[in-house]
Amino acid sequence: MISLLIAIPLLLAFISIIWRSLSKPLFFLASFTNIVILITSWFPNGVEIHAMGNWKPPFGINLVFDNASFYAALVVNAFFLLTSLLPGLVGNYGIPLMLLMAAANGFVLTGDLFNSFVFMEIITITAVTIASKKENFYNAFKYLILGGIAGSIYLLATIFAYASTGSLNMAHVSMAGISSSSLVAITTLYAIGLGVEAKLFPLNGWVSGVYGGNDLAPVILGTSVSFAALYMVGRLFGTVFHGNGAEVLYTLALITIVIGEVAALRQRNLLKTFAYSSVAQAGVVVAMLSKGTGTAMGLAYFHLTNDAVAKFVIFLVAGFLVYNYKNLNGVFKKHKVLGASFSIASFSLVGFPLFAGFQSKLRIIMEAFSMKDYLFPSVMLLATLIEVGYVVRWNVKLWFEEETQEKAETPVIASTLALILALVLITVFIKPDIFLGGAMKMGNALADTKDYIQGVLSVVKGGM
Amino acid sequence: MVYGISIILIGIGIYGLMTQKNLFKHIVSLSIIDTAVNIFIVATGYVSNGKAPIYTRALPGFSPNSFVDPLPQALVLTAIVIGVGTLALGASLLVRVKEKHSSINVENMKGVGE
Amino acid sequence: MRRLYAILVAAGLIYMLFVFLGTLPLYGKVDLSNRVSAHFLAKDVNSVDVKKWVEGDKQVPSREKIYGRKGFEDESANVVTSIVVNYRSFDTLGEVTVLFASAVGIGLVLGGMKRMGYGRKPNFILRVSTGILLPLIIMFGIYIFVHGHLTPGGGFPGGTVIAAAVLLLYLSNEEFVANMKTSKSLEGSMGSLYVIFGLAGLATGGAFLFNFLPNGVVGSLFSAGVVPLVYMTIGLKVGSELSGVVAEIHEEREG
Repeated sequence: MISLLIAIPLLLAFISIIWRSLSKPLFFLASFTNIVILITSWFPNGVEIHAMGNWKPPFGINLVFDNASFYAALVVNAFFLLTSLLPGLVGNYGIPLMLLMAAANGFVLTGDLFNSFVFMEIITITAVTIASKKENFYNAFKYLILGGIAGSIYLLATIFAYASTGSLNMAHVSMAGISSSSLVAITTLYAIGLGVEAKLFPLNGWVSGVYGGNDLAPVILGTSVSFAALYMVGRLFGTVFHGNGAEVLYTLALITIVIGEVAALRQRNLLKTFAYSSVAQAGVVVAMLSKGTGTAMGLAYFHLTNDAVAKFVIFLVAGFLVYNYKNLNGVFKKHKVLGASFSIASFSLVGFPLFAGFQSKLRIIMEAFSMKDYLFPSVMLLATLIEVGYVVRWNVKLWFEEETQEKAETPVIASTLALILALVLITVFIKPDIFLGGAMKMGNALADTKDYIQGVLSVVKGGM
Repeated sequence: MVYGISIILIGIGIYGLMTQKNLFKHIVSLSIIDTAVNIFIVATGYVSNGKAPIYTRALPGFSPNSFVDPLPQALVLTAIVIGVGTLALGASLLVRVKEKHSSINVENMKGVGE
Repeated sequence: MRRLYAILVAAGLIYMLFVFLGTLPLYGKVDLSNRVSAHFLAKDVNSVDVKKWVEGDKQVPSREKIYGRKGFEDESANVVTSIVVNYRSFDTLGEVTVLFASAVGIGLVLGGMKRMGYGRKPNFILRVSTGILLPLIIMFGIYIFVHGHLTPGGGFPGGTVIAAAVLLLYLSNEEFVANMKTSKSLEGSMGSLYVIFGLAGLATGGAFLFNFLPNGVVGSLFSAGVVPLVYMTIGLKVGSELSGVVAEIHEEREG
């Protein structure tokens, strides 16, 4: 069943190149089918694999379906489904979006290092295509170059892993007893290679240009694709390398947080402000992931889910505003629903009580304290102070300043979606288990290397 | 030796990316890095006196280490195609950059804000 | 200043990679029996005991004549092909998708309307020789991908050769415009066909991209099950795709 998650969007993308006009409905169909497939196989609570072509691992390529990849795939596909409900936003980009969906699913599900490289490259190329919407060519080009380098380094890391273990299968690599000097080589190269998609310092120069360049790119790249990329960080450094190389990630993540927040504070462009904020949040998640325990990783993904939901709302609203108004002062007086959802989402981002972000930030800080780490919580509190600064500034500007005469029609579907997601954020504050339960299962599955290896390597034949 | 050459080529590519102001040279540098990595991969699969992994009348049978490792070659085949896709997309983006900003030299480009 | 910085970064990277080199086996001294590819070469993946294999009991395959025999799990004489299209076929599906994605991206980025001229008349020799060479080039391309499982080559090189023929047409004739409708339909249908092959494997063998056709004798043209079919699909798809890219690069927007 799980290979269909990749096969269906691919097939529909190939079909819609023949009938271009069908690409929007087919995109909706693909994301809807994927969600249905995922719901029918709710939390496998174990490790299921699908061996491609019935070649058993570690010889063939296999897809791994456990709690971690299930939750990640669910989040990724949910955002694609939400995006497909907005035909105005999708425009001509239905085919790249379908390919991106197939690639993100493949990236999440695959159990093979080289295969994940291939999917990462598809993600880069389609993401660049999406980033070039609205003539944003120069920034898309920068993203392509950075993505290309990162891809090469990722490939190099894969080859180092192959040369020292003789296998490309993640489960086999994780148990192959690599010498510690090889481990340093492999993990360093992987940290660089994943740094571009995971938005780590110093490879995140593309983020503001790409997210700030049009309305579609941040909505999909800032939610689904960053979730997939950060999932891979957890999978590689948590499961495959058992926390080796985590110090590098931890240091880079702290620098990323500080730089991201400061850049966000200085930024005068609405989309770019929150682009930098999503850089900083990626830093928080990676810092938590580098701790390597199941709880820490679960909390990291809980935070990431909250952040992705909030960012979807923020970027949706911000993209609408930036491309319909020349002057943003006081626009929310005309669009109260959009304004309310934007405020809720941005407050959740900061972590005010009453919103989902509070639950995850508080838990992350408590967990870090309990692990006797005082540096990370203090950086995070500092970051939160800066966040309060720019979030309040933007809210004041958008709600209360003198409004202008311009008026654009309120997008009905977009405001409904934004409102629903904003309400979800409030609900999550009251009942954090909605996201927390799944995220914790995901974290525990990622930390449990033994189970993963057994699940992948003991299966004799492929099965569904 | 082959390892050394490909690593130095990677370094040259990185140097080119950081110093060149002409965006087309960025594409060239990227393709140098791609090629270097591909050379590196093929080199990891080399076995002294190994033959090309194809069964023919002249080489009818299998014995350990009589062939070079075919897996890196298969990976390179994939990586080359991926490199081609990246380069083609990059070149076509540059065509539009030139149209929009009237130059592909970073210093002379018009209308590129912060 | 910028150059110095660049030199430092590049030198640092080179130094780092040289240090990492120490972790690799020496050049040419690789022992294949430690690697998965030994079993790809011996075509005995299904008979390996994985549990023991991953724990370090490397089951070195026996010496064996393979060319001209039958009854192996995979039957293409070219082992690289058997990895690319059979053992790791899923990678190749991804590879096809990369090319497809970048062709779609080029179409969206360039989005031209009418053909761009070169502003000069093509050379006489070029025009005449195109007529002679064109059928040969196309035939050569088809030969490459039909024999992908026997000789070096396969769908990607074959498709590229066919696209080169289209490029030659563009170069030799200012008026020539490729029929985008046809090339897009061919590209889309061939891409779908590859996925459908995969799904057929899922339906018959229970695994995506399962080889559901009978194998033959290693080294004969009709062998290796689904591999030649997949390579033909890939060849046609890559050919039409790259022709489309050539056509798109030759288009210009009004004004």
